[in-house]
Amino acid sequence: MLAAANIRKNKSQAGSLLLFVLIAVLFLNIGLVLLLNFDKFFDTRAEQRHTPHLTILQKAEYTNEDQLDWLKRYPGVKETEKLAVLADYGEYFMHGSKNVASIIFQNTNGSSSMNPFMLVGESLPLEDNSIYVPYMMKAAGDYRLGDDYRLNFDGQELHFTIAGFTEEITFGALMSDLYRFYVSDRAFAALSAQFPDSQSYLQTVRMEESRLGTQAQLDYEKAFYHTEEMKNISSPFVFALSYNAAKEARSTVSITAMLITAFAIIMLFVSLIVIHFGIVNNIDESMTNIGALKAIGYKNSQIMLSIVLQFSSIALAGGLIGIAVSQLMLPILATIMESQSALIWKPGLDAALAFKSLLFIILLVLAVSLWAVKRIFKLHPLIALRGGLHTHSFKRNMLLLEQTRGPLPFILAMKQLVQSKKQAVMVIVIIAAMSFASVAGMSVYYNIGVKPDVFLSMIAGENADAALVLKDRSRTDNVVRNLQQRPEVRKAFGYQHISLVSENIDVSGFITKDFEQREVNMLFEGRYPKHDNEVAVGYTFAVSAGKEIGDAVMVNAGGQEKEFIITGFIQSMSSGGLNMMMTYDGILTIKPDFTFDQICVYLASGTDATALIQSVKAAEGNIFSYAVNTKELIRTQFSQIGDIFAVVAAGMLAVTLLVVLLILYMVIKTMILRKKRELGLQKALGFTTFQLMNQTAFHYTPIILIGTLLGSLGGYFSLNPILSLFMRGAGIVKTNLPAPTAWTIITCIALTCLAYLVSMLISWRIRKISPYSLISE
Amino acid sequence: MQKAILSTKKLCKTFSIGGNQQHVLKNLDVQIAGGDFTVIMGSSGAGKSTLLYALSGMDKPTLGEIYFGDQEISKLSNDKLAVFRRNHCGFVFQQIYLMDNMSILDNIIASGLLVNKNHKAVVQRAKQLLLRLNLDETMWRKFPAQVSGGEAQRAAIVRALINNPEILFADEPTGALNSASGKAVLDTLTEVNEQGQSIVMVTHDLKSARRGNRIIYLRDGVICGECQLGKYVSGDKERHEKLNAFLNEMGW
Repeated sequence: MLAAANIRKNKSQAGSLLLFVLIAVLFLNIGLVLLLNFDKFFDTRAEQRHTPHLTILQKAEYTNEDQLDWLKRYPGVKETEKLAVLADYGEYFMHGSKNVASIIFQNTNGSSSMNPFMLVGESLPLEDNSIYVPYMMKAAGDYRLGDDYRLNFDGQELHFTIAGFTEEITFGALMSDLYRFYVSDRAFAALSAQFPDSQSYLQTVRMEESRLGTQAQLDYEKAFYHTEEMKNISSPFVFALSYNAAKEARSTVSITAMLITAFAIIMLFVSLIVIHFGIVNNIDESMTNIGALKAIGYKNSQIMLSIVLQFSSIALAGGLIGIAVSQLMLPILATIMESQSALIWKPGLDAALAFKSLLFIILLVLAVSLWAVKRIFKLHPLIALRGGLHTHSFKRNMLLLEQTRGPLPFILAMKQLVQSKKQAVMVIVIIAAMSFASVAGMSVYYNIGVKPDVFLSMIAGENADAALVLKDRSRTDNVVRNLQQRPEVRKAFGYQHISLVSENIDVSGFITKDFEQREVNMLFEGRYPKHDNEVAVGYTFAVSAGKEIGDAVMVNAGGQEKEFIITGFIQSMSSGGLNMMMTYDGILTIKPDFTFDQICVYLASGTDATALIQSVKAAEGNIFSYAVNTKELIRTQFSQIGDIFAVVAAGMLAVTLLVVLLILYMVIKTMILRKKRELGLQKALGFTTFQLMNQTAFHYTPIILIGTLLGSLGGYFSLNPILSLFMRGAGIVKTNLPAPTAWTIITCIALTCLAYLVSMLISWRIRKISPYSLISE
Repeated sequence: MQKAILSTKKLCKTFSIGGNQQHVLKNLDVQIAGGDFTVIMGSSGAGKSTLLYALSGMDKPTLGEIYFGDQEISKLSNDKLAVFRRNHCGFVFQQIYLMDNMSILDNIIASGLLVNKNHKAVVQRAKQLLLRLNLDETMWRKFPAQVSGGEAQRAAIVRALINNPEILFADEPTGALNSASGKAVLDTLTEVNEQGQSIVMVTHDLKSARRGNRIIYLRDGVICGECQLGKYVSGDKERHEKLNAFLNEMGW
């Protein structure tokens, strides 16, 4: 009864608290559902679709029966399948831009048992010139049924009419760059005749457990790709893709979910501070009532319970509404995620998860409430009836007007500020936490959605303007020389990824003649290798092998083995940090027949990589088995992910603004109510409403500025240390993502200006305080 | 009689409480002369404080006009009235109303700086006034809650005087004080009045009323009597008897 009466009395405070809890629960539920349930959905859907745990795509010429036998005999394999398909590098178009990908053509009637073709949404029967395309083309590319669909396959332009969209588990995610297209039997036969070199096989395997696919992939690669025979072949078109890799191609969902959950935890922390503030404030304001209740015989526990109940019921209501709103928002977010995951996911109500989130929050609110009301125990009824103890500290009177010069409202505001330090600290902590979240969110968006180069180099290592792979490696030196002579080329050099074995660990090797030519700094300690007996190694490899800089490691490149000295540590997510850099001279000492067939090309500013590729093709013929405008590829892949992070970052910024507004509303309103008499007195003495509003705004603006600065600087400078901590396991030790300086400064200025304006606006209610109320009340 | 510094024409104040109209001041015509120590008396609910706060620009009349000299102040906006109060009025309240988070000296300087931007001059005048009203330096940096009621009220008088107001309004200034503190406050008011300060004071205390040279008696929102006593002289029996007779006549 007392709790209900208190809520009715402080409706606006109750409303603000409810909103805080609502936002925290809203984000927490969305974050947790995305984090925990998308994975489950993926596994369930994959199981329903009988998805392979290992997928191997190889040109027909490199495929033999031994491989299938090997797969059948591999421990844990339950089922295998081999399908004839057409596969090659190709180009697809999305929003007008050309993107490189591995393209697979399959006929619908050559139906597979694993991940068989399944149409989503409306479709038309397949005709000779029509095609079923992956759902990604609809979700991210905005293609519709009946649209003309252009594909460049093995250098030739093909046109189809879209007859339907297929759901793909193994292929089809934006980040995997592997797309499977279905055509009619007649069209497949025609394409097979047109592209004899693209005849390929899709070998798929289901195992006892999906996780076994990763090891099977490594073992398969060791058994068939690291052989002398395969190593001598220039860039065979072969892929081995595990179930986990297909899942990781949807990792944007998890990253987004983690970001949202982290923000929800910050919001929860803020809510708890606000609840503590609300209770302490409530006790101060109801001091006389508490005294009266104590005087007439209420027990401490009864009074405390009424306050705890009041705040817990507000939290419960906020939590329930938050869960309801999150259920409305989840389908919207899931639809946005489709552009990256290419899977139609309709998240329903997870009652158990919602209940656990709510229970967790209610328990936290109860704990904070009990902590905040404990002072009632010590409160003597007589002291409470007198309105409580004087809370002002008389020990120090800061900013004596006798000595301090400056505008009066400003000085009075500063006096008030130093006298309400606890409240100031609370506001600073809240604003700092929110600014931190905003700047961190913006930084993530900036590095993924706006300027993804550094982020991508962190994930994928070197990314030049154009990456070329030659069909005939004997021409490499010539092509590099020719490229270097072109005016639009800044530099071109061979840069090879090869497989090596060191200390019994499979590592991904990066070979080039001069590592100083690279433009992405992967080194975080020591130096790059210069001599033929030096290597720089990935952090994960160094930890696994227990090696330090200066230690020696044995390296094997297909038979020959030699000792190399570690000169530095590098970081790259490629091969999970199991990587190694070696000079060209170095590789020759263990693989004398090594030649480059992969070339990195850096262009002069304003030069188009696609134009260069076309120009080289025109001059030298189609010498490339793979040629890609890397920047364009990045732009396409990251534009969709960038859109997702833009939504998340915008949401976080909007909530930060809302929290700033709510906090200011709560503290200023409380201040005005508490200081009504003082404000009335100041008016009686001749202070104008505007002076008093300014005084109030000046009081809160520095607090907001300090909070914003602390939070923004924290977000700005701690982004890389925090990311490094999380990414160490993936092989990244020191991230160097650039935080958006201008955005951070603008956020600080905007939040502070907003705080001033909002403070003025909320203080506008001071106009209603009349000096006459001093006497009449 | 000196020229009126404050005057009203058909001053009315009506409060609406729960839909009922309560006419507290009814067509009052009153003039306050410069240099006078005017005391407003009357029974509870007679309209004393309402008249005081209407005259001082703290509250607006429902009808009628109020003039400060030749300037009509009854139609000024709230902010203009605030500027009027800071420039021309000083206030002493029954409940003292010093700002409890500021020291005695800061309370006074904060008022002074509102009008006078010369920081040094304000501080100097505040200190002079404090010393004049027997508040020595040991008091200056104390908070209001750390001094006695009488000392705090004298500090409030200093605050009221800091801007050299043309008129000082006092609303039962001794109401919350013991007799010794009350006498000290009244002595202070008498002293400043003797130096030319105009004072309008509301009281229902006879000892306080004796300090005035003009008594206005209100009943049901109208002036039902006035008494001119002349300047206060301590122990002047004739003056006291005249006041007593007047108040008896008024039915006090």
